[in-house]
Amino acid sequence: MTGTQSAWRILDDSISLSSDDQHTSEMVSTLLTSFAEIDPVGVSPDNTFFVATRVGGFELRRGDQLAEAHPSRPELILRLLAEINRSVVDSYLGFAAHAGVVALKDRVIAIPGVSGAGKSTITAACLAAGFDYLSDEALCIEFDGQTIDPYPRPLQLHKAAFLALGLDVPIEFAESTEAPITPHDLGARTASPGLRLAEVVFLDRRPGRTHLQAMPRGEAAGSLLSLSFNHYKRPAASFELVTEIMQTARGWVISLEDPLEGARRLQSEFA
Amino acid sequence: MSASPVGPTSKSIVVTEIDGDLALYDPRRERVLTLNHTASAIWRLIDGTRTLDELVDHLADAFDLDPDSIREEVETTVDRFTKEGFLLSDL
Repeated sequence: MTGTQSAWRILDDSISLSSDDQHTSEMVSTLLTSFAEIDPVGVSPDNTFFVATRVGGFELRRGDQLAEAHPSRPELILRLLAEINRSVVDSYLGFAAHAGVVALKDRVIAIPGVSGAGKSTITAACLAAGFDYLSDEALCIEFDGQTIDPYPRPLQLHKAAFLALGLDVPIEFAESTEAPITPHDLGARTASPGLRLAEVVFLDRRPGRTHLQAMPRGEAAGSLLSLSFNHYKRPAASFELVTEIMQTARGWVISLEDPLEGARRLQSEFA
Repeated sequence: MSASPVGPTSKSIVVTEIDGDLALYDPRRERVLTLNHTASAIWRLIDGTRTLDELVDHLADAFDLDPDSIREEVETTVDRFTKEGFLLSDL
């Protein structure tokens, strides 16, 4: 295939993209700009994604797997980002849990929640309020040292979230139900590696005013473990890691309807 | 239920204290159970010799409560430990 080839180091994984569509390559490169670019030559064929233009759309293939057809570029890119996310989270060697993760100075705040709980929306609201970004998807903690690995993938927001946050949907994704947006688009910067978890805030979306209340640390530890992607790989080490972290980190529940109000409440509490 | 001893707890279970409350990990089942203050107090009393009535009496003494007012919570908590497999007799 003729075209461009790019590669990135993301968490513990290396991902390569080979594409004959220049526009797709440029859009993906922009969306993955938070990750270090690497030489594609060293990337495993299994971690190489191929994009090819076809009549009526695009094909996406990973390694030697069967190609998937996608009728539009936005759909292709959303699928590619989802596949990359799955790959890098699966191969992460530390502890990973479903969570949005932001920081105020060096104070890291994890916002755990299942898919659809609103993690990306509150994360985006926090970035718009001046927080630094670590992830809208995964809290990634090294077993050795208990430090957090930033995973600053593009935030994935539903259209309703763009509306709630007063943001414009990127024009290329005007017809999609969701769209990616970079932390840079929200005026945020990526937090540095090596920080430690300070606050764990569980989401409780409900109508009404925002309310933040303390949660017992043990309960927070159990809930965080239950939202892990990969604790089954090293269950005893995951239990030890999370319970040790929760000796000092604090647990919270935030009840909210308006994500912007929620972000302001977190800012006033943790600044 | 109240006539026979409750437990004992399995020795293989890893117990960690967080803010005075306990978190339990059963490595054989790879299960985690986090306990509130009352459940933590009940867990600490289970030694394989105390009956349910004795657990209730100990807790009532410790927290200066009427035994009848806490019996249901103790029964429910012990049931939960049993159902979750954290008592040795159920492993």
